[in-house]
Amino acid sequence: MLITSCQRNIDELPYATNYDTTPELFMDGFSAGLDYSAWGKVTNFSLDYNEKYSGTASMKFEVPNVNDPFGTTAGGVFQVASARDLTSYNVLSFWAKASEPDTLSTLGFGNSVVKGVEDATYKVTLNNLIVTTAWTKYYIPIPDASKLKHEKGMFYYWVDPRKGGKGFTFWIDELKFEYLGTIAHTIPGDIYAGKDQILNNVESGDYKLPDLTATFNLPSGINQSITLSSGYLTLASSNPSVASASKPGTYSVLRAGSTLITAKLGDKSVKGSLLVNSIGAPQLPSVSAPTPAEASANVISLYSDTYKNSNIDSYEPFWTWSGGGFTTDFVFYNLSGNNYLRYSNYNDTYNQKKVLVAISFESTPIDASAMTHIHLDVWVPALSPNLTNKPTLSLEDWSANYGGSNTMGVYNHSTALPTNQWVSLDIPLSSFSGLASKAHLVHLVFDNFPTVIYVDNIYFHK
Amino acid sequence: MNFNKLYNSKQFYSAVLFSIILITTIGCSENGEIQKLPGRNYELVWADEFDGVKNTLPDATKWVFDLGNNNGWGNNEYEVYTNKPENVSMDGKSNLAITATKEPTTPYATYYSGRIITKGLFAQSYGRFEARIKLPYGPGIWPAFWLLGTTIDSLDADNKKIGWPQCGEIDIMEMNGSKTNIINGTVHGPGYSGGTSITKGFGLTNSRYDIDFHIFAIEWGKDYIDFFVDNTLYQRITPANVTGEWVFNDQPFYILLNMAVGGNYVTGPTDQTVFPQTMLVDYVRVYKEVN
Repeated sequence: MLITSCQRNIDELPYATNYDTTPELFMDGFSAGLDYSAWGKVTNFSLDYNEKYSGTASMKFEVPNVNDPFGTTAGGVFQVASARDLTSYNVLSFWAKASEPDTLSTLGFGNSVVKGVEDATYKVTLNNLIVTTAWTKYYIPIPDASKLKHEKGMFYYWVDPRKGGKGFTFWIDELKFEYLGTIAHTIPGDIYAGKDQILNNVESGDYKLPDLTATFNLPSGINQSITLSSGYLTLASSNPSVASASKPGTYSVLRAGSTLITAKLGDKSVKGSLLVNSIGAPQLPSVSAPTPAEASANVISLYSDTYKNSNIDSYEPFWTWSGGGFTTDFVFYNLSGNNYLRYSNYNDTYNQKKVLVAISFESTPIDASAMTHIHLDVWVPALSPNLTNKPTLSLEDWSANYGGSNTMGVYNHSTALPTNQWVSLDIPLSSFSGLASKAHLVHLVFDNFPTVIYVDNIYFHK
Repeated sequence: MNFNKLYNSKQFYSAVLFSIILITTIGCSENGEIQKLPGRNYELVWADEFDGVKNTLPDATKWVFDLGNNNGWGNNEYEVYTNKPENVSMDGKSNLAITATKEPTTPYATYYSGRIITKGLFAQSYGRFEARIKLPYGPGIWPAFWLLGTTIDSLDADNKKIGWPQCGEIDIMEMNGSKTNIINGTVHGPGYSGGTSITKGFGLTNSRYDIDFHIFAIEWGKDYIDFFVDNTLYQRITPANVTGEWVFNDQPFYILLNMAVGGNYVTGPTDQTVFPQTMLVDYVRVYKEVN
């Protein structure tokens, strides 16, 4: 006797959880456990007991004027210390109005900051929401609520003054998650411009897919686009022994071979894919960089085992170019007792966006007035996803009063660097065009390097 | 007419052989009111199940095309109706697909869509008219399943064309695509047409009409027209409700299916309207009451 109707697919069992499922964030007061931290002008947020959509109070946000000395944006994040289970909702909704018709630059949820570290695994952003002086209901759809089994980031906003830098006030009320059957027709945006991206010479390691957009149809029949973290994607690998889906939005390359990475948002396939051809373990320099021969008295060192290094704030402050949003990965490598720096960034190649690396010594500016050259040893692996290989170096000087009259000097290396060997670059400081002073140097910036580089013995000398 | 036909239809028609007590919610209320309707027995007299091969045109023995823009069809509508498969055809999955498309012409975009009617081929007075439809969406999108009186082209005693609205119009379902969870049932007649028509909306609670099929129907007899969505009666219109002559007794009406783009009912489409938009019609069935 078959009793198939009584059998359950294990995937369909309810998620066992004790996480709070409270949908409300702000009705007339905050729901339990909701914390607030301000960004920008820290006094931008308050409660308003006169203006409200319903009940007794609303949240009031004052966007400062562009020249406000206390901050030029209104921003903040509402998060809960104990995560909530949002899997039964499909939208964050709220009512809003503004003192005059204006644009709210950024609203969203899914990011939180714990001990200074931002968790944006499931971040969703609605950009440039136009609000009027009438209370209106707005929606920020959840791309795939099944991912939000324990989320701390409930709501955030970041609003700049727009019209001639003039500040304004907006109000939000009835802020809550809900399930609306009137949100429909999810259309995921593309990854890799909807194309089948091929990526050669990929090293073993973890790689995160880029963020993407998705479109939802609102109850009014119009589409609304949001930006979402790739954490919402469900990844599949055609050859899991080469690479497999690991952390949210991330695949881990395990060994040499080829695999096709595809993605779904909920049950909808995302256009675009990534063919990963992996070399497995990274190519490493087999020998150490040449030991520098300059006398210590003639050297100011940024990174070397030979000399005492200056006080360096960071060998990778994780800057991004505006609109880029990607930073390098950075590690110190030790090879037979000799240390060197390893910079890598696959996102650069994926997105065809420029990525920069900087060594920062803002806290202790370097006076290189007496120096004539900057030296560095570079090793470029022949097997690299991106052999854009005519590097640019920049030096920034902040002048005596830190920012009074900054100058940036730029040096473009005219030939491609040879690969699989240490190359010693010894560049006259006079080749950094535009550098007016070298008495208060604060940054050395690497640009236009290939995807992976190893660097050692970075120092000024005369 | 063969009564067995009733049971052979692919969707069992639950209003047949009524000892009818429908237990459903009314309108958007959730209080579980019970509708008590008089028992009515119907037999199927006309139907199109749209079972044809993909991209074929509707059955020419049942439907004719309305074509062109016809000066906005009396409503300042934007669309141009065609008889091309990209606008009107079988979808190969047992549905009729009426699709509105947008062409980026200058200075204004051109919209194409479809409108098929049974004029000259089939008309009936009284009975149950129903269609199972998945609706389109978006600002300026105006789908409809409706009836017009066959006297629209007839001449009166003074040899003048009777015309609209004297001929009568029954809108079994029409929808403003910017209200994705509401449809309206409406009658137009002399003294109650256009903005003064007799109408009522029916909203879905926490859902919308463009994500699933719904059954839209009227049951029409002498001095009444009952409007249904999914077998929920949400409106009854009688001579007492109309502000003019009742033109629905013993008058045959023919069927229209169309999707307008723009027009007085919806205003124009916007840049945010998603094209193409498709209305899928699983079937149209017409029954006659038998006792």
